[in-house]
Amino acid sequence: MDIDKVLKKYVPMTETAFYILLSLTEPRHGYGIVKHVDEITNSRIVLGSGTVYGTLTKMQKDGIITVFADEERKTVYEVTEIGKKLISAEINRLKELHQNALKYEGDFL
Amino acid sequence: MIKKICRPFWSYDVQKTEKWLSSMAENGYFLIKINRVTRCFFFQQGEPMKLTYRIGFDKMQGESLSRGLMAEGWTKVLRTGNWFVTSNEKAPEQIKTSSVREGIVKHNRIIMYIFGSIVFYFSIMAVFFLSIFGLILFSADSQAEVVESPYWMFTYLYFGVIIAIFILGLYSVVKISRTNKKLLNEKINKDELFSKTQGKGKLSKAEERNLKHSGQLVIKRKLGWMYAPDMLEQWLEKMEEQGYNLYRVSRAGTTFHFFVGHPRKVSYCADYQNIADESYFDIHRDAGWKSVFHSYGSLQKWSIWSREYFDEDRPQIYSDKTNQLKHARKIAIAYTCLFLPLIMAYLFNLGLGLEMINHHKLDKLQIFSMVIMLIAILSFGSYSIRTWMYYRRLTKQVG
Repeated sequence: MDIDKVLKKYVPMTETAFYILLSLTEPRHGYGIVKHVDEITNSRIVLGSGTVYGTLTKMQKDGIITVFADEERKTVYEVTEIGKKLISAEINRLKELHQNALKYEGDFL
Repeated sequence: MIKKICRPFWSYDVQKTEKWLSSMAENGYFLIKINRVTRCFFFQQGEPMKLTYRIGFDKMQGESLSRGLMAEGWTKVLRTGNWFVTSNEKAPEQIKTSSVREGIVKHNRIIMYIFGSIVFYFSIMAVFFLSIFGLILFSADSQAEVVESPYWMFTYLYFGVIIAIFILGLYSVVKISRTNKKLLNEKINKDELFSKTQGKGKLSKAEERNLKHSGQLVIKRKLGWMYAPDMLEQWLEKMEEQGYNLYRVSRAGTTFHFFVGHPRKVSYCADYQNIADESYFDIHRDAGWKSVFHSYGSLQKWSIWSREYFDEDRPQIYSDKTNQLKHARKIAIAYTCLFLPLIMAYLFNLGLGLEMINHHKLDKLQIFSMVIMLIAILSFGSYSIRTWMYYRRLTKQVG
């Protein structure tokens, strides 16, 4: 899938998909992603393993992530160039959201 | 200098092909090209060198390898279609990461099913043909006579081709099923390890029978739970709460064996996957789920997972319900596609039968077969409806 199609399909990302991709700052195992997301969200988001597996499989099909096998022949997930572009685009969108949230939050108090 | 070697079945046993490529490199021949149509490998001569090769199959591969593989010293030698070949100067024992095997296993499995059905079809045809042939040949008043004709050549040619395809199909099925097993076993078989280290271990048949007689082991049957997996989950959880601890599920997935033990809080999850690979089992096991059952069939890939919990919330495999909803719809559509054509065909037949009843032209046997058809329609229909009801229950939960 090329980048335009990926952006169209994934942006805006669900919270689940966003945090799964965001945790791939380094290659990780499937369950490593669950643990990492748990940590960085202070256990606000505890991902189910089925949800993570389903999302990863879909992302792999679309070329957003790629896999390889480690010493124990366990699957490790890594973000691709397309995946990096996707997460950057999504982060930019969230930045705008955040800036506007700060700018206008006072008016609602 | 370029050397060309043909290897028609290289993709059936990639491990062997990889070793062969390494030995070629040791003799100074380095792979530069593969022609997938003619099944030929092209080598460039150079300084002999020790190289480790690894073949992979991936539909979505970028131009370069992943960073994890490049850091390990892998380089991409070539790419042809969805296949790719990587090489590494390190010895196999020193290499930690490598490309995954799942793509090859899945691809070869599809080829195996295609050849498998060809072999099956030809076998049926052969039995049919031979029985007719035999009947003609051996019946006493046989009038068959062989007439000389140059056109017999075409008949022989035709049978020659059929036999060749049959043998090719048989070879493919046997070879692929063997190497796929080897590829999956590259990894330590965790299932076995798991049952040895954890759980209660397997009881022998005699022990099971004794426990059953003394009432310590209870057997319950559940047919057709695939059409309402959430009901099965609830049932299993209620059994655990009442002190019936699930010990094992039969291979067909219809018989459930429980120990009469102590009440527990256990979360169960019945999950359907089109093709489940090893990483599917890894992620759930790592997350603390125990595999209670997984089907071996190729049409229905069901697994049941269990996890005991104490004070925390009931753990679930799916945290994102919309994901699960899509999944449920997939199940419902899959079973409807499976049963709807059958229902239609039976309804049509039944309609014909009813018309004949009006004309009083039916004997007992025909009425019997009509009753059977009616039962089939009702049960197939109920399966399809139950999967859609499951989908609706889930929709309500989410919404």
